[in-house]
Amino acid sequence: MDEFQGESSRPLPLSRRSFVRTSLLTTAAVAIANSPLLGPLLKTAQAATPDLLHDTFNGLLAFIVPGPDTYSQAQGATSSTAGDVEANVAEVLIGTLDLTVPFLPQFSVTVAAILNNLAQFVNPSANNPFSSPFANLKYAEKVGVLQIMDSTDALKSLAGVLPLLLAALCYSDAGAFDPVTRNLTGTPVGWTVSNYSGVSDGRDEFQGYFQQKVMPTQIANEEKRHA
Amino acid sequence: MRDVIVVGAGGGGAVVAKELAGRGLDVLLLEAGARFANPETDWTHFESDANNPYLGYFRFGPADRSKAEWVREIPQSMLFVQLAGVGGSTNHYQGNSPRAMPGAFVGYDGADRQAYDTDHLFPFPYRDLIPYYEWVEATLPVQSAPMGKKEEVFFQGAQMLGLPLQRGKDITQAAFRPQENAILQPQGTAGKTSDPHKVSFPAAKGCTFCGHCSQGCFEPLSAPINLKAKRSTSVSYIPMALTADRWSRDGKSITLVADAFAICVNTDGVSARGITWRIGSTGETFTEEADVIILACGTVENPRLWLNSGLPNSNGWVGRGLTDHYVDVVTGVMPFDVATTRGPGSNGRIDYPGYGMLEVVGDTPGLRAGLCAFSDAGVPGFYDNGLPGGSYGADTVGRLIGNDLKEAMSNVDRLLNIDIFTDDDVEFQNNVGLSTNYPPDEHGPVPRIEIFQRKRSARTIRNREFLAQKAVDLLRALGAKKIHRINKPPFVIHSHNTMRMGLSASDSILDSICEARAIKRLFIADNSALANGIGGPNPTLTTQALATRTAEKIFQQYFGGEAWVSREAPVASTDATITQAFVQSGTD
Repeated sequence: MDEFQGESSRPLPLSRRSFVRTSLLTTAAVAIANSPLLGPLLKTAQAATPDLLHDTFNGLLAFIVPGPDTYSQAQGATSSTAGDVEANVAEVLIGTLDLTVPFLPQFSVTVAAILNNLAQFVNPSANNPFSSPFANLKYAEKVGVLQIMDSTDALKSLAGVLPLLLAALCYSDAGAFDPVTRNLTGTPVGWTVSNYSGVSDGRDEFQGYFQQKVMPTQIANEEKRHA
Repeated sequence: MRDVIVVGAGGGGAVVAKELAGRGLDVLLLEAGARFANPETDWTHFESDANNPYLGYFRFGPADRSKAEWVREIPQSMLFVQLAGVGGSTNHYQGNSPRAMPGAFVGYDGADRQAYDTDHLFPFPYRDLIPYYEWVEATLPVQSAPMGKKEEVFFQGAQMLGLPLQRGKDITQAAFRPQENAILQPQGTAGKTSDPHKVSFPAAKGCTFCGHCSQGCFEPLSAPINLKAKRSTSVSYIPMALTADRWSRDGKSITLVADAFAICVNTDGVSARGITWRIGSTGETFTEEADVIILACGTVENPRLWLNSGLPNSNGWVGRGLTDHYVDVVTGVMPFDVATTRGPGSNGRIDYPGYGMLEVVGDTPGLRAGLCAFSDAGVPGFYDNGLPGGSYGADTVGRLIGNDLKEAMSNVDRLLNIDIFTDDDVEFQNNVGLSTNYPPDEHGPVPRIEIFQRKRSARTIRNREFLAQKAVDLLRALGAKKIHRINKPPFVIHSHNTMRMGLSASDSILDSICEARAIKRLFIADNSALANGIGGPNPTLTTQALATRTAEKIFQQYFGGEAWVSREAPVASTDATITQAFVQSGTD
């Protein structure tokens, strides 16, 4: 799957009509758009249904942070406490992917298509129970998809950012944050499953100074300066 | 015509602007991002609001959050963390203000002098910078940090490794210490109550131990802006620059313009003459002239602006030599609470001269989980992605995802996180240039950042592995139940050297006073001017000391003034004169 050797990417013939807006996801998107292997996916990806899209991302969410949900069950790796699927971040994730790569309309659809195509490569018979081949993979097979992405120049950046993004979304306040009021609509799932006590303007956590090292040497210097 | 135009109001630009305003010069300070004049309403404690890399108020983008961030081409897995807005990246930093390793400077004669990047030393001796360190330390001010629980535990671990306590500010040996940091020490109820009704100023002063350094500090509530706990330049140097006529006998307050993105440095071929900038909200462009131009736009935008302005690059080193401290993280799952999310961001450190440093770090759960999942070393138990990096007894190396992540994050306050900052070499290959793949944006061709993670120098790799082993040893000594080494791709929270000063004209852009070798009257005053990665410590204090030195050199060379640092006492940014000026103006 390795299209290019080494870390230095070759010039990519991205159309000048494109208006590039972001860095992290854009890097991934540009690499994909100009990849001879992956570029054709863009056309077929647009035919994806909403069900396929949500199945795919729920399968991905369960992979990064599993829970008791059906997607986690299907991959054979579950958790008794809520995971990424229950964290209510699927829409935030899809919105983030779409909003930040405007020159690839519905970049989320492209990402889903990549995951599903690689899933079919890893396990061609993963057809049930979901419409998404990726969501039907076992946990180790999903790792196999990530491994292919990690070793494919056009997908390395995406392989790096997706786990980061999904983990951060799950454990942050993303599923309960209202950007209009800039406040929460409830307790974020990630706070509950990580035992986070929540935001605060102050905490009773002051433990004093190590060996009473309260006097900065700088103050001593100042005293010397003014002596 | 101005005396001076400074481009960039971050960790360095704000310093040089304040110092020259204090001397009575007419200073125009341009900032591309938001003004952030009122952190109590501008910021919240929520990660989604602050830290979303695309839409959060701490992205690298325009003040108007309905507009997209500014693009950079990054052709690899990399997180380049840099903030726009008045205060720059000091708005989310943890205030740590250590001095540099003396071995990073020319003239160092310690027994370990060969342990450093000896090909790229600072072009003046370490002792020459000490008066400027002292000046900045008194201005911010920098003080010895108090402990939270994780610091107490971390110091126990350091002692178990047999390390001594470092008592002075200058790094002389491998040792641990409370951070010297730019966060006001807690007084009154600060740090002693979790009751939100009891942590407002003046009952609480200094750090309230809220645990939200990464979302920006606006504590204690109701405190005047220059008395906020964390000394981001937005609450320290900028208020001083805006009130220079009040605290300095000869001072002249600066003119600050936010939402102003510099797009060209204008020259006559010999000297810098002015700056052209674009206002984001209107699209208008403006040009002003000045006797001296100072760039402080950061390690990415400085070389971009230089190259987009058509300035000379005869030795090819513009944008080259990027160092990032080759960051890694080792996390221990402890059998007891260490208050990861509660209290200081990072108030404890271990310095290993010639290798780098370790810091104990706390943060909010989304950031921590994301960083645990951000690796270049595959998935533990499945594949390692071919990245060098030993376990040294760690239970896993690589991404924490799935139930490994779930288990580690099941009690975030039991995670003892040790960040690794490597003394990494200046290497020509790691660079910021102009993208030929992306179309220009409204400010011209966009920057391209590239770090060759798998081709770092042998010394750099050795240093990181040494530090990783020490981190694992410390966590094991403390009884960690599990230890995870993440082995990160470039996670750039410290960046330096892309417009470096140096001894030789063949591999540097700036001379020994940070003036461009190719263009007179053009200076650089941020991390990009540093000669090297200063040996691994957090760079902000050294940049601020160097910016103070640069301001003094400019005043002497181009305005006929005298040096002041060695003969005057600095005014602290917390001085009552500054507080009163803001309170009286009704802007606070």
